[in-house]
Amino acid sequence: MSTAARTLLLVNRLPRNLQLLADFLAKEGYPAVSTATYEEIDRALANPQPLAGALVDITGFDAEIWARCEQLRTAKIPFLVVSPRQSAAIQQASLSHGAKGVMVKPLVVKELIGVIQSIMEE
Amino acid sequence: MNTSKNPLPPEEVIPGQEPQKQQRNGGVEQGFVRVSTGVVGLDEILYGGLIQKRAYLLRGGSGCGKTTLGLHFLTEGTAQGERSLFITLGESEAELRANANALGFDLTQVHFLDLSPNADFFTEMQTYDIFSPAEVEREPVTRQIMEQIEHLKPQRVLLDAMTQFRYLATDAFQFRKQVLSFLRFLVEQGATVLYTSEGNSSVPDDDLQFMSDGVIHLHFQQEGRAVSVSKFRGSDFRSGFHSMRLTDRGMEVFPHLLPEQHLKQFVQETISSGVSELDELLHGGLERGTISILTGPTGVGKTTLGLQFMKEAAGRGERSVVYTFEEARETLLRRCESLNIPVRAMIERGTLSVVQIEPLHLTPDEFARTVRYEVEQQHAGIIMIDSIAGYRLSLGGDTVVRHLHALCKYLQNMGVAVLLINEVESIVGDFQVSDVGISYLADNIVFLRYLELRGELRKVVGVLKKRLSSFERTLREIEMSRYGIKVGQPLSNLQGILTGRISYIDAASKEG
Repeated sequence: MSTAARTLLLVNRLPRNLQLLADFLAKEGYPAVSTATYEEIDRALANPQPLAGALVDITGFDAEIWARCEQLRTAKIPFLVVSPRQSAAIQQASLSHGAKGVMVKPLVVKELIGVIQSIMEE
Repeated sequence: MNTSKNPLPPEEVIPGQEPQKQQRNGGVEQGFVRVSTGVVGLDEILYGGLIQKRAYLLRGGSGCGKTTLGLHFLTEGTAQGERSLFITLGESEAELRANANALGFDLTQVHFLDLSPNADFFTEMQTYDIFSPAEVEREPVTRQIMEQIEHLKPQRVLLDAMTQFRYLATDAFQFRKQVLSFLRFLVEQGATVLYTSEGNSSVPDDDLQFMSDGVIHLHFQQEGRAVSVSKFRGSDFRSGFHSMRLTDRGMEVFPHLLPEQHLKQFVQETISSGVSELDELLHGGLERGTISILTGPTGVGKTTLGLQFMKEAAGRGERSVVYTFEEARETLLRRCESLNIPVRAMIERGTLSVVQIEPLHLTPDEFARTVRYEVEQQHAGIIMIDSIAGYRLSLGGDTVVRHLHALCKYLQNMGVAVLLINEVESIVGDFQVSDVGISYLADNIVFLRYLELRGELRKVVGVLKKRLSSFERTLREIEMSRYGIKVGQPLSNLQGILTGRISYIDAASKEG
């Protein structure tokens, strides 16, 4: 798989979270496009650069985030939802909008890489 | 910075004192090198200081003095030409330097590794929640510490506070493993380590206590600040709570007195009062290294009687000290001068010191330190505590009688004549030695009584107990005037003085 084909979309409100995730994924050989607002997400989705997957942290976003999740599903971009807490409602909403899975913060680095690899293989 | 208000030499070098190395080093393996904590009193509690190249936990709540003690520890190292490193995870280096400077610590030679969060951390730019701090911070923190230690090779390290590391571990097992490994790394690099922990009920630090080579606790109790040691691998230590004071010059620690650790060779001789009749009553006077209780009701002249012994001692160039807990110093001086005891001249010549102890100002340990200074540095031969009740009220606490006992035994061992002034409540009537229940301490008990004879109030003096010699069994009249103390002949024609029902013994009864 080429580097471009491994690019991941990161959605997160906190700049430090985005930086930590991007650094961590870069170490593992996954380039990332970081986004913190709906506008940035829309621009990234409109970009012709192919996205191999997405990691959507819903913390700080409103219900509109689910529309972006639908867009990812339509674009056949596999994605994971990151939730601030364990919640059946969030899990149900995430899966119904096309998420491959839900992870609860704080993430464990080793687990995250395993999950990303598995959704990329799919 | 301060090492001690009344600096005393370490116990083994007290002049005239027989060192008790076996006792002091009880249980200590040979070959350990001790390093001073920088606080004289704490070194005494630790029987010479911390054992080199080991890791010690310093625990206590906020404001208990952990950082202050750490600063003493580091600057003591730099004063000895050692390399000292302060690893701070809480306060910033700038804050620490400013606070230390205000306390008089010279940190110019102390190296800092500042791992405290900067102001940016609290802005959105630095806040994160995607990973746990253990995942994010541990690696860079560990790397920075290792680089600094390997580069500097410090002999002393202060880590303030180890509690922060708890948040860098994913679970208790990881934390324990990481701390043990970290401490081992520091010690293998040649450092003696002091690490702090706040240790409270919400964040217990039992694991840190278990992992350390020693635990020093700093307490802030109702009775005042205190320090205690609960663990010291490879060495004995002085147990219990020891008074501690945080001043604008740093920390002072006042260890409990252990009388058995102070033994001085002294000549067993009698101290004369300078009043021949009183000496006759005492069969020579009071002996050195004895505890005498001068007891009687208020105003009867107990303090004056004690000062009479001091006046005579001053004539021989001997120094005495009066600790007055109740009477103002100036009042006492004026009163003594009016009774022909030249106290001001004695003070000028250095043969007398009158120290007024303010209520609740000192703890018993602090007072004991003051007395030790007088005995060991100023060579005082007579010490008067005026009075026992004042001592108890002023120094406070439930264990005050135990402290007084220890102090008196210490003075006894050091060959000092101790005069304890004891006031009894009953002016006349049934005789009572003491209201405080410490008469068991006394080698000598001298009592003063009022008696009313033909409508005139007079005073008598007698001896109730004298351990080292016999004494006169009769009472004598005593007068105190501007000419001094005058003691009369034995009152052999009166009876019932102690009960307050005085009567003359007629000649016939005497013969009978």
